[in-house]
Amino acid sequence: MALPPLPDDIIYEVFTRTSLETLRRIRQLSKEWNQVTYDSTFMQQFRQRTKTISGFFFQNVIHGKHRSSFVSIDYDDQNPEAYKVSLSFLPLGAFPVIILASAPQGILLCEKDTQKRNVRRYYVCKPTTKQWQAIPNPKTRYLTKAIACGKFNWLLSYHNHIFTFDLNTESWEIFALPWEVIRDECDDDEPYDKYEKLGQVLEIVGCEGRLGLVCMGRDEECISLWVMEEYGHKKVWRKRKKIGIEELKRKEHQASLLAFWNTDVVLTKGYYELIFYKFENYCSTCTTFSKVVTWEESTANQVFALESDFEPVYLGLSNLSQTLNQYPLLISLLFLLLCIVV
Amino acid sequence: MASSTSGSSSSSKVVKIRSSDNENFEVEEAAAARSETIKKLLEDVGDDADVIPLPNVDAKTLVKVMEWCKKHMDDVDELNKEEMKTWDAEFVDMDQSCLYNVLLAANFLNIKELLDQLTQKVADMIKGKSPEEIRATFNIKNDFTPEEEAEIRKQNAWAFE
Repeated sequence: MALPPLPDDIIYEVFTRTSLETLRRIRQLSKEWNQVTYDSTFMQQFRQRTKTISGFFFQNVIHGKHRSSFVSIDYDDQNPEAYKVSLSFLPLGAFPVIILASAPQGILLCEKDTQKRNVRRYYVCKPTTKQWQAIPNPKTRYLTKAIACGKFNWLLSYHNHIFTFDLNTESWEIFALPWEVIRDECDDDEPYDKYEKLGQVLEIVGCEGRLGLVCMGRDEECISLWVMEEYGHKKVWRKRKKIGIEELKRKEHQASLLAFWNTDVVLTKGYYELIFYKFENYCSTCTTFSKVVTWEESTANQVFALESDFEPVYLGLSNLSQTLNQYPLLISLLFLLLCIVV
Repeated sequence: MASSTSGSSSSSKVVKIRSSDNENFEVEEAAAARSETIKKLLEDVGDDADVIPLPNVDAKTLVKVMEWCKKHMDDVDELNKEEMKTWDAEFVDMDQSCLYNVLLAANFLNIKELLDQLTQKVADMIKGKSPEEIRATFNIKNDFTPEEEAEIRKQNAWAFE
């Protein structure tokens, strides 16, 4: 028996009630549904109905020590605990955890110093379920910032290039930034320090599951977004949009762009304030909503987007660390014993 | 051919509704008013309403919807919440074509709570399904080229499956 077709608004309702796991399949259905699921209105309903948190880990260095804290986009006065996420479940020891990258599905890649000089340990973890797993050490000498869009990407500070590492195939690749961007950079009569320049005007961001590159215009009145298309053997940078930011500048003169939260909302940072800047159709008449944050968060120089459900995930390798994680007392006892023996 | 589905409390007011296949039903007003559409119609026509025609809902579906409305007629107290939850779960457990019909009816009749329950049921049904299966479920046309599709699949890959 043929099923009666459902109108789009009902399908929309259905999709807002699925799960992050299903959402990535919905994005593969058609161009229209792919677009819809990146819309901030859709995602807001989705998060409310599926117990999904979304926000950013802010990280900064104070007195040589990395600190991070999580700021959620949603809040609930009745239940503020529901939007709290921290990394305190990780086996900290005396050394702080440094977040290197965030990946879809609520996964963070972290780094931690060890007692041995210059030896670091790397972990993947899912903060909402307090799961973690140590991973073999990658070499990250040129790291400036990493973004994961199916792969981990680093913007190389010295070379106008992006370094990308594929977790599945364990292979890496280096490719150039858009020619126009580099040329713009070089099109200046005045001599300048290339490294300084790039460090200031370029950011790599995740955008619709793709790798994006954000460039601040020279006059600082608009930002342009480049998106990497054909993310396969052939790579093409495409200029996606130019966003006027005069409105934003009026509201908060010092605002600087931190991340694309959605395709229509960017996260910017002012003094003691985070501003989510919503723009439509590339125009500058925008709505903003802001959130007051602590001093530590407002001085953060790194942000990591985290969108996560509370479903446990299998982090691969062995289950040993997970088992140990469940018995913190046992670990501390073992640690104490070892210390006495040594 | 009128079949009565009116409740046990004879004192409450009864309204008549007619399905698309011309079957008449008598329902307690409090139950029928769970539907914003019927409620509005009742307000418009006032007391001298004869039969309210519902041209978009067939008899089989209307029986289902009214069964839900009767159950949800009164506000549920804390004690009955669990029981109601079980009842609701059993109610939405129907075959797909029936589910779709009730869903469309709930949409037309504007019964928000029922619509929420049914859309949640459909959402649970597509969890874990492949994009191809989801497309078939909702009759969605794939307009990606094979290259684009491969790219989108890659973007949405998870490191830890």
